[in-house]
Amino acid sequence: MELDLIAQILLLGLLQGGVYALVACGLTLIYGVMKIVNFAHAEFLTLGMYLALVAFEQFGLNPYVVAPVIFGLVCVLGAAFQHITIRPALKHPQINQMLITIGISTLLVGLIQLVWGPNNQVVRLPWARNTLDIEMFGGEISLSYARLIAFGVAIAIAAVAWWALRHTRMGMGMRAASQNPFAAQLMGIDVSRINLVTFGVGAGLAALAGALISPAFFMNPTFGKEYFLLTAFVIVVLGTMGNFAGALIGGLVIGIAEAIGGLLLGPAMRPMVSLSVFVIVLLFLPRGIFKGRLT
Amino acid sequence: MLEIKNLSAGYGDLQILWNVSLTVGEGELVAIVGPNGAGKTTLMNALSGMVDYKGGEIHLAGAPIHKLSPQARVARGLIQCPEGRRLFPEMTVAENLRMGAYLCGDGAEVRRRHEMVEHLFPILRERRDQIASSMSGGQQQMVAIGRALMAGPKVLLLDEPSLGLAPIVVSEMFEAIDRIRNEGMTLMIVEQNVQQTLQVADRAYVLENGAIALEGKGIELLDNPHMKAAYLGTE
Repeated sequence: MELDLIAQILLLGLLQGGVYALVACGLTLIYGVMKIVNFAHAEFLTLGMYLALVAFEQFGLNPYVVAPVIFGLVCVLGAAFQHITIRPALKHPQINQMLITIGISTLLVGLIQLVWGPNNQVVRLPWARNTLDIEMFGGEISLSYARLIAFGVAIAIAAVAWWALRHTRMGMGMRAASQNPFAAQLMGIDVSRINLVTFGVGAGLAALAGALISPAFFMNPTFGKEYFLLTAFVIVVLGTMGNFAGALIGGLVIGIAEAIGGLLLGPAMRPMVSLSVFVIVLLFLPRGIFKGRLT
Repeated sequence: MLEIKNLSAGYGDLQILWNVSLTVGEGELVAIVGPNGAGKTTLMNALSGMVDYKGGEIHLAGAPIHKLSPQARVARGLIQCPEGRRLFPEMTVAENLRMGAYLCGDGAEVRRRHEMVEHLFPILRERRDQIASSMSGGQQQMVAIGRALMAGPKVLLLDEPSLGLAPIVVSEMFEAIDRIRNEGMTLMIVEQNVQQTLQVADRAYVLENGAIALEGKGIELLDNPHMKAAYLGTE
């Protein structure tokens, strides 16, 4: 096989991994702080894509420009869902909270379908589909601007979020609530407020990822569920549930692993790679490759 | 400084504390002793607002606080150092201490408190960047007390500070508590180590079955016949 083809596929895998990482960061943040497995996570990503579509088609706004607005909107929406549906169930068994997130997921898929219909749509931003061509290994490697931007922004945002967890008051409060919610309250940390913000930010990060990939992927109401949910779970488990840096690294690892799997076994077998990693991790490293909690 | 009148509290339908009344004067070290399951930790958590309130009053520096949220009580200066230390295990020593001053927005004041805590427990200066869970039990207890001091307490509640520590470390812990008291801190301490606690305490209350059974000066209680028979094993 040609070296340039291998490089092309690996780089595409890495770019995809960056987006995976951003999606998984939100999921692992919510789990780390609230111990809730959020099955509605992918729907927030889908919603982000559709909001980018509306901004583009109705107002002619570039998805990359409105991405911060979409992040903010979905933060508020996520926080509202948390406040209305999950918060009252926090004292109940975890299975109740999981079932509630499944309910939110079903509701959002239905609403998205109701508003935007079931057909495939895409943000038609022609220049984003142009490619950056790099001479390498005697061949040419082409990477679309849409994917390059999505990767760059995803990694930058994830890095900022990682920094914020260590150096801002809210971030430190999240880590404290994640590591010992009882002691956090004894230190005067308002844990229910932390939960609200955490769920909002987690949902917002997923929507932000959705906005970033909207020029590169066709969207439909179950897009997030089909293409990102399972992978995000694989990444979060691989990087240890609740470990932020783990999700970041796990996202890149899975992106590249899928690309290698697709190269060796054919593109149709790509999903099998992440599922195989999932099974192997659960069997041999059930706690993931890192130590627990938000570190 | 801290005045508790007829406090009742528990978990849901289960009432643990029955009309508990006690006072802690400014600068005093008051001990709560009693058998396992008497409700000592529940009393601490009722003061911090962490269990279900069922009646009575709590006044801190003259103001009622029994209706306030746990955060508001911390903001008023009622700080608990919980049983079993409950550190943030994957944070460093310095980060744990920093979390104690979560409600303090004044950077200079946080540094002043940090300096004070490291002066009290010099080992915490040496171990500043160590992950809390990798320290010994005694050192973790120092972090826990230091973290509570970082909150700038008016009244410091210490729940079982000697729990699970080696005897020599227990003595060090009591020396540290004595130093904190000598700085003028108002302290309420719950302990199963009755002998050593009564020796340092100004006054003590004996909690049995969720109610105050006995109270008196610390050293006098050491000579009380009931105390000798039930707790001290010296009769």
